[in-house]
Amino acid sequence: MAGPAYAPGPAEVLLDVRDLDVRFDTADGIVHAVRGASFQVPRGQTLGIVGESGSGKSVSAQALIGLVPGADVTGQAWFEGRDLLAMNGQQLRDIRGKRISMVFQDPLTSLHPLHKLGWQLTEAMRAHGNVSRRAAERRAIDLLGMVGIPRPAERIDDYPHQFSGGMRQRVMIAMALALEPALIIADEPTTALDATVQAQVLELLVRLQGELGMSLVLITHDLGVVADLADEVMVMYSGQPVEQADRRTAYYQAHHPYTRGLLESIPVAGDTGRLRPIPGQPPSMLDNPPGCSFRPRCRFALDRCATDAPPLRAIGDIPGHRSACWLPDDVAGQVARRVPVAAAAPAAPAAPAGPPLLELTGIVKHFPVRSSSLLSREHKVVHAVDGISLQIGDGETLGLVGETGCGKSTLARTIARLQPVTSGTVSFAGQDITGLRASELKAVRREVQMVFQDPYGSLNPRRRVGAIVGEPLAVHGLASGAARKARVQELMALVGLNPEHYNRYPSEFSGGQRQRVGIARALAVNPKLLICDEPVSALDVSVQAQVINLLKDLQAQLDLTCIFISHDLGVVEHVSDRVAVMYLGKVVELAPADALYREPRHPYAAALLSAASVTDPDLARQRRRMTIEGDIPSPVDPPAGCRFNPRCPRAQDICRVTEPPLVAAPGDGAHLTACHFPIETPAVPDGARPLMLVTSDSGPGPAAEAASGVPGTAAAAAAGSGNSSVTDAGADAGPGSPDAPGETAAAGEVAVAGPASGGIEGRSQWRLAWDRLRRDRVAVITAAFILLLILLAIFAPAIAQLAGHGVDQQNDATGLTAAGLPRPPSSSYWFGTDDLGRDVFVRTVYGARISLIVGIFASVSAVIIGTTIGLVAGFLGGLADSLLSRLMDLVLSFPFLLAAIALVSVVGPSLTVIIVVIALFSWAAVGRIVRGLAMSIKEKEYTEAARAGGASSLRIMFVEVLPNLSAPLIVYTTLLIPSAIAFEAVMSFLGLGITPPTPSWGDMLAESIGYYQVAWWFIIFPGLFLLATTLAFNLLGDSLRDALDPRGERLISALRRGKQRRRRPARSAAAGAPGDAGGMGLAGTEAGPR
Amino acid sequence: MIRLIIRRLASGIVVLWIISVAVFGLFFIAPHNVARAIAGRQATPLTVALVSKRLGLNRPILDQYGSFIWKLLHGNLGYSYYNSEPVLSLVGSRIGVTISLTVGGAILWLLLGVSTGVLAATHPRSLIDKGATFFAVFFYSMPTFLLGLILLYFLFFQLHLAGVPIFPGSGYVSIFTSPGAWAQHLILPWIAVALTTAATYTRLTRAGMLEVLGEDYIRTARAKGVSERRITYRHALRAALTSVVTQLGIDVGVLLGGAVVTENIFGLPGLGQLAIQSVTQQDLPVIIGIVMLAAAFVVVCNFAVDMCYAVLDPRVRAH
Repeated sequence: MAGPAYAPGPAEVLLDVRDLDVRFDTADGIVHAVRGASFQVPRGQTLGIVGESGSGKSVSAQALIGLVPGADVTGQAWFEGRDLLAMNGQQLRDIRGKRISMVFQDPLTSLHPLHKLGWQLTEAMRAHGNVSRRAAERRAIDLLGMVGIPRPAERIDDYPHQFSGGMRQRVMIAMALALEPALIIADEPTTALDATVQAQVLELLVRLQGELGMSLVLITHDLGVVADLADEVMVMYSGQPVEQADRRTAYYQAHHPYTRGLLESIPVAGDTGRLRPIPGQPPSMLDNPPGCSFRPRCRFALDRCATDAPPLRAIGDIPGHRSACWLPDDVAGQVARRVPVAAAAPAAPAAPAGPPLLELTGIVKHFPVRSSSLLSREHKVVHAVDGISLQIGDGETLGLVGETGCGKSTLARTIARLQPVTSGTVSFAGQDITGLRASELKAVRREVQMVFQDPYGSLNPRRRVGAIVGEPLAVHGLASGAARKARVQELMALVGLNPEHYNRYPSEFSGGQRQRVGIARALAVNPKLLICDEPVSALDVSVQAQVINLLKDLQAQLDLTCIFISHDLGVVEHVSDRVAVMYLGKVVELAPADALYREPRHPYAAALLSAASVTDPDLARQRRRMTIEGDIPSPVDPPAGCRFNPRCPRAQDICRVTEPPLVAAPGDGAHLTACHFPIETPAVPDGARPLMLVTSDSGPGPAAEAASGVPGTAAAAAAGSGNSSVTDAGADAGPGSPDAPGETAAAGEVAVAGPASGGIEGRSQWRLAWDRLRRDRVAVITAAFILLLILLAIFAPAIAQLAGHGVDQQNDATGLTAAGLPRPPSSSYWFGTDDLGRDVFVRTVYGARISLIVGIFASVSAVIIGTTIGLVAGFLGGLADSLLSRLMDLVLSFPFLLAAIALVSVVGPSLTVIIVVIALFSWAAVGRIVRGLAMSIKEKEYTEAARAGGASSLRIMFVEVLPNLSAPLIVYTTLLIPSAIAFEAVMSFLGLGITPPTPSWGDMLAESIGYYQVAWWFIIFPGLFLLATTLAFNLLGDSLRDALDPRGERLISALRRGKQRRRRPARSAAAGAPGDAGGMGLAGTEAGPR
Repeated sequence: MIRLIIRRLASGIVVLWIISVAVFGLFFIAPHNVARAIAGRQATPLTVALVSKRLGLNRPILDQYGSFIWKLLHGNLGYSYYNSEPVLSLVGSRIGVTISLTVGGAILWLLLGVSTGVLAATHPRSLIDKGATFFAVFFYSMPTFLLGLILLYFLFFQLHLAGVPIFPGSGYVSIFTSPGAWAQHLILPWIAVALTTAATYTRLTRAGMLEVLGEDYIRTARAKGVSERRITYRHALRAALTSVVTQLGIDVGVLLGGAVVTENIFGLPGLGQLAIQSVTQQDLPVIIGIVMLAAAFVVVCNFAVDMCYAVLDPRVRAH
């Protein structure tokens, strides 16, 4: 299974891609996603494609089989004697699923939620040939068994939601295998999975590939996965392959500065030195500067790099090793490789000397499972955190690791008092803060701050960065005016942002920069304790290293105590003094980082460690994975006894009954484990611990090879400043110069990453919306029409005077024919006259008055009522929410028109009654939408950040929530107006609205019915005005929506682009965004009364 | 599943009860003289007093409400003040018209709306999409009575003038009397209701389909080599259907309670027509009867929608 040491000959090539080029035509310009990529997939082997987000790795694979609609794809891709890129749709469909199949990243979204698994599995088979349903089903059952689904015959009729993430990914693999294809393309197949599950799935994939002799293209951002599984490796950057080599060469003899930079920037187990991030960030795919695309971030750039793009050329004498770089061949392998320092007696992290800064005693946090009914008796709870006691010393960093649902984020939020505890106490600096009231809590909030996970969700998109960072200062009244600005700019400089960008908006920053903004905000009030909840998990590897360095520097410089939460073991070890491993709401192991990683005692901790990715091909293959079976059980129904017992290889009877306490290991008081049968000695005798820790002198280790293989390594390493961290972790722990932590990385990022706009003054969402609106012809025309209508309505009396006919003036002499019929349009009666000889033009203009008054007043009052009630319901939640929601449902389920008619029949028709009736029945639709929006905004991390910063509920409502509601509200009001106008017309038409003789378009139309045979103008003009008005408002509303919330547009471009999914945090709040559909109708009846 | 049904039924009953309270409140304790309104403007105080007594308006409010509900529960909606016919039979004689109009219209607008929505979504930004989108916003903005008038003008009046009287201008023939004449009388009303309503479905379907077509599982289907046609209908439309079903429930529920405007324009003797007529005649029991019936239709349709969800979406069943 070892990779070949030579380039694959033509006979062994399964897929031969030449000059693949993929472009997308977008509103912002042409996106050149893949630029002339050439690569080969050897038969029966695995090609690993590595790259950060936006490197074009997924697009290049998907483009080959026509899965990126709307893309302009050129080049050749020879597969089994035919060129894939020359095929038509039908030919490609015959290949897809049969000869080439795919496994996608997110198993939760990649299976159709509404179809049975069996249906989805057999569909692939039946699409490609005459298979009987029965035979296909039998095959599907076999396949499910093959990928390790227990009881496949029963589960074939289940739906995807009945499976866990890992199981779903197994089903995806089964689907891909259905027709035994020659090639499987697995696009980040384990990125969305938890570490222990990830290990199972990867193992399965590789085993099946070997058994069935398929080729595999494995696309990933995770160098560890590739190091472990690939035969050949291709590194992509900015749409181009920058390096190709066999697995070992790619790691030990890396040539391209980007490959080397990636290898250097990854935290490696056992190493706590300063990371060496690649400065800056990947370039935009929009601009295509000459020369090497990596040049702006490259430490070794030569003059010619700026002008000549380096081709992919052979490097050295290793066959198949190619790199797109002008540097001499002998730089290959010069990697400041992070080799863990061998058991150098760990400088025992100072056991907290003084009293602990933070002390948790028996923290329990249960969430009730939402049940909307009063009838259901069972009250189930999610056992998110179940009895955790911890102490954190002053200046210490505690790492919290665990997989999804282990309760680590809940614990963090509970400590920050973003949610109340169910039981237990939190004391901070000796003070019990568990039961503090809001006013008392504010003081604590100054001391405890949070950094959030999602760089996109944690900053309010409608506020300037200066205001965001300065918010805690404003809340606590610490500084205002110029002093606040000075402090904010100081903070921005501290975290490596350009202080000049004070007035920019979050959307104008990159992900890494936004995380810096979030850190600056947390530091604004000089907190003692900083809680970082997955602060780097949404960032690319190279940027991640920048932020980690920044955090470490700041911690040392500002003497912060930190809680650092992550699912990434390497990152946690890198920053933490002590680490707590959590599983299903419990701490199962708590120990100094060094001890934990070297000698995990809890089987779960050991399994987790062994599942972590190892970025070193030889180590990755030497190690013995300790795969644990199954998935994490539901926290609603945690197993009795030890929570890990159903998956534990060491479990015995007692584990199923008695929960083990967290106790110290014999001889090591700092190493606590909650296990009846802890691992006493390293699990594997031959020195291969679950996680590799290899000393640099341990024989033919990679370090030795790297150092000996290439002359001049030492010199080059010395030139690079960070190399000392390899051997002397302690010395480089602090920042180079105390005033400017992360200086190099940060400066690089700012310099490179200036978005296209580049200005110092930010462009607000409103400005952008206005620009979009101005370019929208429909919007301009309809707005002009509405403006004209408003002017007509305002100056109606003047117009009547000009026309010479009063609005109710019955012109018997001139307005009626001899037979007493209306007169057609003429120079004195522009729109003719009506049955009483009145001027239709004047009356139509007056009708506009009525319509606009009703439309605007009714809509505005409905929006005000609806917004207030919706905000209260959505923001307060609980009982108020239940009651108000029911009320809204009730109003919405009222037969609106009939009820209005009945109401009017009781109180009698009038203008006020009409307005009140409309408002009364249409606020609920607004209320429901506002409630949804408020709830989703409340869930947003920026709202939590404001709360963590000490802002009061009222302040959050006005500063964070309302500004984000205003755009949708403007749209809704605009769309409500035409419904109200149409409704008024209907009521007046039925004789229940505006009472004659006051002119209303509906009433005029009712009067005209008897005359349409003889007086078309009588019906045409009011009808035309009515239609034009409602149409104009609806069109304007649609344009406003597109301008203010370009979600619909994004949907389309996502569709055309073939969704490129970033690795995003799982916490996506329910989409409360205004739907594209339907718009606003009265009382839920979208099209108004009929 | 059974629990879901019970829960929905219970909440439907609660809604009906609240509506009954609201209706009762509106008509019997509103600050106006019911008896005088019923007795008519010219009534003597004696007549008013008599009416008041006959209606039991002098009894305590709870008492009145009790007997109101009691009768309601026995299907007794009272008697028309105008011609003393039982409200139930009055309503019964009209309901066939409204059901005919609603069902026919619903079939038409579903076909029209969903197909244009699918077309638009599968050809985003093309001329077809723009055409369908404009069609949608145009008819969405069109008040039904205006469309009705336009249809009458061209398809009834002008055709009659031209000597081609295909479409009658008003009236109704029962389907049991003559299915042909039934359809002929309803074609224009169906078109009027369907066109204005279909617009919503076009928008809903288009938006829903666009969203679904961007989902990962559509890409999975493509990767399996499934044909585009099958992807459009079996994968995308299937998933976009829930919002359409919700809307259909609302629309049918509301329309069954009385297509007031359409019936008025096309002279169809349905519930809506009856409602307007009773309002002009101040025929209180009939109005109450129709409002309660309309509310019941809405509740029943909402229930049907919930049941449809359970059929359409296995995740709902699980809850």
